[in-house]
Amino acid sequence: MNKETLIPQLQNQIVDYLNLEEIQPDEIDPNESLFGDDIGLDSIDALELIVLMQNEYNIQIEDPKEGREILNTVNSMADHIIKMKG
Amino acid sequence: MIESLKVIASFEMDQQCIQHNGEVIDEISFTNASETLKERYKKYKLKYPKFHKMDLLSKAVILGNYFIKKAIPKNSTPLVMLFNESASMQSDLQHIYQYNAYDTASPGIFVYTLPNICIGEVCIKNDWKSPSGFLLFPKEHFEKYLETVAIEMSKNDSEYAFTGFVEVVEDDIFVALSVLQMNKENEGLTAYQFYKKALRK
Amino acid sequence: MIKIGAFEIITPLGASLDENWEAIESGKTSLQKVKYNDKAAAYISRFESADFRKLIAMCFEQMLEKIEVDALGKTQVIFSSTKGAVGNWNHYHKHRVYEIQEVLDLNPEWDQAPITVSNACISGLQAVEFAYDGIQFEHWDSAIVVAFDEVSEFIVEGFASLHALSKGVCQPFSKDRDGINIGSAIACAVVSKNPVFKGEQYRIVGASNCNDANHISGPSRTGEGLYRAISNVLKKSAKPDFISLHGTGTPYNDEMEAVALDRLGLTNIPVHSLKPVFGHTLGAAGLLELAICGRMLTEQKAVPSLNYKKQGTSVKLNVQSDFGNLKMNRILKTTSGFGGNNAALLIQRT
Repeated sequence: MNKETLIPQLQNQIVDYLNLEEIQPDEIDPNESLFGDDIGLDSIDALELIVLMQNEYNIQIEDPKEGREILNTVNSMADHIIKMKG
Repeated sequence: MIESLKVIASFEMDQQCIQHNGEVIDEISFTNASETLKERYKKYKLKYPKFHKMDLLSKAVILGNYFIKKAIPKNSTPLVMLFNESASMQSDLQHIYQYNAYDTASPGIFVYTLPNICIGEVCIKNDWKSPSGFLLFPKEHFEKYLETVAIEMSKNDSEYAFTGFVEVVEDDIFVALSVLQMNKENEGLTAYQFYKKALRK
Repeated sequence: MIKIGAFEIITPLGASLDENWEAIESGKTSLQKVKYNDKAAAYISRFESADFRKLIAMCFEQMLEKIEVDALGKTQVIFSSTKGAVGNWNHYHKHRVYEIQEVLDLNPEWDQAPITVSNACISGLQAVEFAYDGIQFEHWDSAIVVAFDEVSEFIVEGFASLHALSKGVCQPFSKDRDGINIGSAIACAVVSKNPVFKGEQYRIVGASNCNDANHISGPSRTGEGLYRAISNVLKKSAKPDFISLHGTGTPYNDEMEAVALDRLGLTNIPVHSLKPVFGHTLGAAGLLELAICGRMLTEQKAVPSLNYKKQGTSVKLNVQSDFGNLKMNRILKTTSGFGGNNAALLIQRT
């Protein structure tokens, strides 16, 4: 598993899970916060990302607060997946 | 008391067409409700990305709102009351499917397993800090619904109300929304006349 | 004068208001640890094996015994339920709330079009508000209110996906509060301007509801909707002597209520949440908890807020810690719910 494939994969999954119909996957800047003004995700979206991690990568995030750091950017999500999956 | 409620704007939608103030403005080639509502979102340039996360009831209400909201003056806070027969059935079934098929439910689906969320969505969009309520009735009890609307308009001193019947599942759409004004002088359709005709279909 | 009375409730704590009140006096909770799937357990309040529809019918009959049915006059029936007893359905027939209308022995002289409120967690209290408003504006003389909701896999899986379930019994207003418990309950009452009540009855002073227009599942940070609903009610009333809050035990809800009370200058008034006793009973909550408020007025005894340890809201609330004597004339009940709703209702001793 490497970042080069993981990042575009995550971008596609995020658009899919969160119904971001008006955003192209490659428009999601991997280093920008998903919760900032650009993509503007809210608390329910954060919970959906937890479901994404579970369903697609079998990674549990128990605590939504801990989750916010991991889920802050596409990059941080990718780093966490690589860390958990070795 | 319901005789004093007049319709000042209306939106109707079913599998055949959209009517705005009683006139057909859009013919529909219906495939399913999701596609039909998405197409309308694009056609009328609603420009509200949150739309895509909503359930079918909320999408239908936000679409209807696009047409009839302007009948309510900007500084006015209307009563918002909607009704249907089957509550949030579509979202309920999706939610059940989701937690049976996967290890966990989807939070984005679960939050819509309540019929009143569509009221929340329209209040958020319009910044209406309104008295509001979602009621369940079979269609034939629409008079009781209007009676409740009239009571709540009096109680809250609301000159306007955003009202209607909204029933949407994947294979059917049946929506009749209207802005009502209390004690509007002149001629025009009463709420009773509008809903009697709109719900007969 | 418009009154509410003939309260009757059935919960896992007891099959009547009297039984539930005795259990509350003993400091009991109906919440028990239940395994709801392979991974997790939650504290839930549920009826072990009873037929929920039969319990609704039982509660309804018991409530009718507390009034003179012949004195009702023009009568409207109002239901409240968020999920209409979803139970284990996996395919759709018709909404269960219509089934229940058929199961109950509704008097043919009453209005033949019952109103069903399905407005998330404020439904139970809003049903009473509609009952009251209809009498005030002379549409009916009396209204019978029936509120119910049942724990189900549907609801538990849903709240679990929101990470909203507490790991234990909920701790409203407390620093370490971590979420809600779900409960099943049935509550009935009569609202009337006629002399129908055989026993306890309370004056309804005012009722109001208001939407935050903020977020569909998160409350407004300024408590705007709740602030307005309570303000409206207090236009017609002196301050309450006790406030029975919604107090679900989530970080956001309880903070929002504290903020609203602070804005209103009401933070000195004793408050509680009944959620640690019954769990969050959704569409039944508003009416169930109002029934307990009524009994508090009759007995002049305050029911404490269980499981409160350390202050956990940015503004200090006067959280009732003991079950004990308290002189009260007026109690304010509040509820808040998904969709941004907030409702408030004030009852007064007669």
